Amino acid sequence: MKCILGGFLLTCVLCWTEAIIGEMDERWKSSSTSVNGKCILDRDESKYTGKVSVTVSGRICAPWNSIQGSRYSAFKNCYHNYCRNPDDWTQPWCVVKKRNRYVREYCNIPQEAIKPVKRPPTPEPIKQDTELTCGERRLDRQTKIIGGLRSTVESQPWMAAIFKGDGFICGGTLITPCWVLTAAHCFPTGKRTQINRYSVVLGKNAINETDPVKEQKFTVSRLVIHEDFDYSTENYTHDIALLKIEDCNGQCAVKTKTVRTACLPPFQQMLPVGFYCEIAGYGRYQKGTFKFSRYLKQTEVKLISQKVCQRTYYNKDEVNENMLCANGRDWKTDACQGDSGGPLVCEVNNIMFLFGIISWGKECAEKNQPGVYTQVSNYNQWISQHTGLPRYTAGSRYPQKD
Amino acid sequence: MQSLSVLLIFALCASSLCNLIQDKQTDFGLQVFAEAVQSAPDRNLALSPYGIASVLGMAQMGAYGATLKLLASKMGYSLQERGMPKLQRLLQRDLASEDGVEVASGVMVDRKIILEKVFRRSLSKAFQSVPHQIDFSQPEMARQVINSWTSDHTDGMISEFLPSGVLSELTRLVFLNALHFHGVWKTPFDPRNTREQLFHTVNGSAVSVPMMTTTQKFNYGEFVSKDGVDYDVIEMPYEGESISMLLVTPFEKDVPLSALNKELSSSRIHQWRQEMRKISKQLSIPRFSMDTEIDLKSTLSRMGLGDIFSQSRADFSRITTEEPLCVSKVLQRVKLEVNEEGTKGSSATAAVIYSRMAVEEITLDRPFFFLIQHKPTGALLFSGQLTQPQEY
Repeated sequence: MKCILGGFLLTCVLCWTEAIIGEMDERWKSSSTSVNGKCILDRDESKYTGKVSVTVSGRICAPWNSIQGSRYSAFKNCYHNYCRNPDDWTQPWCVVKKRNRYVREYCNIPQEAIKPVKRPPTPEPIKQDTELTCGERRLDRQTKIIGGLRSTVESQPWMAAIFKGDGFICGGTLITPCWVLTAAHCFPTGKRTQINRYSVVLGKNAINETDPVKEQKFTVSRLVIHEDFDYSTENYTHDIALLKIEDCNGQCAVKTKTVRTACLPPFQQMLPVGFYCEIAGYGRYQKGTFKFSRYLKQTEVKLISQKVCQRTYYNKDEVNENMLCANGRDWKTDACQGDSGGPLVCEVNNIMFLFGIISWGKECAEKNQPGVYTQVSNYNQWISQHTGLPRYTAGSRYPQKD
Repeated sequence: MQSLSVLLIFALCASSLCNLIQDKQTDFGLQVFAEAVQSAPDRNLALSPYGIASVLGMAQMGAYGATLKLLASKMGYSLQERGMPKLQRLLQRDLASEDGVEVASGVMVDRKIILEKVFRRSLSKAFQSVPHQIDFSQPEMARQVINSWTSDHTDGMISEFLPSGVLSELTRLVFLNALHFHGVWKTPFDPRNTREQLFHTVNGSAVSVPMMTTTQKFNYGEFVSKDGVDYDVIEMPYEGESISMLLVTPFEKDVPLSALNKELSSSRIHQWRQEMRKISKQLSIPRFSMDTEIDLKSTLSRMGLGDIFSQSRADFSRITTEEPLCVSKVLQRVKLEVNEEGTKGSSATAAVIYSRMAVEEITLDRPFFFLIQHKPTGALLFSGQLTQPQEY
C-alpha cells in the first residue's frame, strides 16, 4: 500500500505546473531545517549551489533523495532537486526520469553562475645556477677550517666525486649545471674510456656514506679530454677534461645548499703571488697511509710564482705556463692521491673562482715540493668550445678594473 | 745483394707462417677450453691450448683420409702440408728454452703394433719425438711406465700423471700432454700485504682466502664483448718478460664469468695487447695452485671430433695398417702455482709518485680467467678459470 502511495506522489509531482514547484520548494525548506544532517551536496561551497532544476532537454530534475540505487544513498538528506556537480563533471547535472528509468543529464546553467575551478599553482621551473649566480656558498665561519681538516660540502658545494663502478677515482668541479671540470689523467685509458662505467656524485660529504637529501647522482653522457694531453709520458701538460652529467631523467644539477657551481675567472686572469686559495678533496690524508680519507677535506694554499716554481722547486720541463703552483702553510698541507681533478678555488669579492685543477706533485706535503695545478684561466676558450656555453667562461662576476 | 733479398723474403714468409700456425693452435685450444668450462662453469680448470694442439698435431701425423680431413678442418691447419712440420719444430724449440716451463707431449702405442716408418719419420720431423711402445696388456705396469716418462720430462714436477684404473687391456693408442709451470713474477708481491679476504664463488657463497696485493704499473685495458659486457684485462709479467699472465674479469660484480667465454680467441688477445696501456693499479688476486687432470675425450667429442675415438670410423693407417686404431684417450695434466714469489733478490722499488689520482683498486674476489702466454711465439701455455681458490 505504501509503495503504491509513493508512486502516486511522484506522478503528481511531475504533472504540476511551475507555480506549484515554487510551493513545493517552501515545503522542503521547512522539512530540511528539522533534519539532523545537512545535505551532502550543499556542503562544498566551491561547487555550484544555485537553484536551477531543469536539464538541457527541458526535463524537471528528480529530488535527490527519491532516486533509487546504492550510488545515491548518500543523498538521503537532500530533499531538493537542484542541479549539482559532486564529481566535477563538465557541467552541473541531475537525475531525470526517462521511460521509467533514471538517467543523468546536464543542466542548462548560465556560464557566470559557475565558480571558476581552483587550479593547482604551476610548479616553478627547476632552479639552476647561472653565470650570474655562481661562486656562492653558505659559509658557516666555524666550518671554514685551515690546515686540511674535515670539511662540509656546504663550504665546497661545487665539489664533485667521480666514481668508476663502485670505486672512487677523482674529484671534479661543477662549473655549469651540466658540466664537471676535472683532470685528464683521471682517465688513463684516454679515448678508449668506457664512459658508461663512470658516475658523478655532487653534494657528497663522505665517499663511503650516502645522504639522499644532500647528494645528487649522475651518469656521464660525454667525456672530453684535452686533445693534447699526452698519456705516454709523465707529463701533465693540458691536464684538463670535461664530463657532461645527467641524471636518470636526463636532467642536470639542481641548485641546493650543497650543490652550486663555481665561477670561472676571465681568460688568462692571474692572481698575485702569495694569494691564499682553497683546495678540497676526498683523497689521502696522511703521507704513506694506504687507505684514502673517507671525508671531504679542505685546506688553504698559497700561490707561488711560476718562475720561482720552475727555478727553485721543479724545472722548466716539469712546470710550464699552463700550470700554477701552491703550497700549504709550512709545507704541511697539500693535495694527495685521490684529490686529482678537484678544485683550487680563490675568493675574490666574496665570490669563489676556480683557478686551478689539482694535478700533480712530487710526493705530498713534502718540504719544497709544491702542489702543481692546471691553470684553468688559460682554458676558457677550450671550455667554451666543448661545452657550447661561452657565457659561463666570460668571467662575468669577476670585478672589473676601473 | 741478390742473396740478401732472398733471405729477407724467406724470413718474411717464415715469420708470417709462424704467426699463422700459432694463431690456429691458440684458437683451437681456446675452443676446447671454452667447451670444457661450459660443461663445468663452477670448477677450477686449467688447460694448455698449446699442449692440446701439440697432441692433436701428433694425431694428425698418424691420420689418413677422412680422419685427417676432420682433424685439419677442426684445427684450422694440417701438419702434413709442406713446411708445417718445420714451423712446429721451431715453435717447440723456442718454448723449450724458457725457464720454468716443462712440457711433455707423447704418443703411447701398444707394443705389439708394428709402426709405419712414415709415422716415425714425420713425428720426429715435427715434434722431435718418437712414439713409445708400451705393453697395455698389463695396465698397471703401463701406468707406471707412462708416469715415469712424464716425470722425467717435467723435471720431476708431475710424477703421478695417471691414476689407477685409467688404462685397460683394450687400450691401444694414447696421446698425452703434461705441463708444469712455475714462473716467478718480474715484480713480486709483498707477503706482508697478503691477508684474508672473501672470495665470492659461482654458487653464491663466499670463502675466506689469502689475497695477495700489489700496487704497480700494469698493462691494462677496458673492453666490451660482442654481447656488450664490460670487462677488464690486466697483464702481469713474469721474470724475463717473455711470459706473462693475462687476467680477464667482468667489470660488474654480478656478471657471470661465462659471459666472456666467447671473448677468448687469438684475435682478441692481439687486440688486447695492442690497446692495453701502462697504468698504476692496486691489484689483489688470490694465492692459488691448480693440479688438474682431464680426459678430453668427451670435450673433443662434443666439438665434433668423436670419430677419432671410434673404432669403426677412425683412420690412423699412417700409424699402422695391421689393425684399425682409434684414440683411446687424450689426457692432459696441468700443474701450476700462483703465489707471491718474484725474481730472486728483487724487490718492488718504491717509485716516486707524481699523479694525485686515486690508484684504482682491482680486486679479483670472484671468478676470473687467466691466460699464460709466451709472448715471442704467441703460444698460449695455459688458459684457466679460477672459481674457488683454496681456503685459508
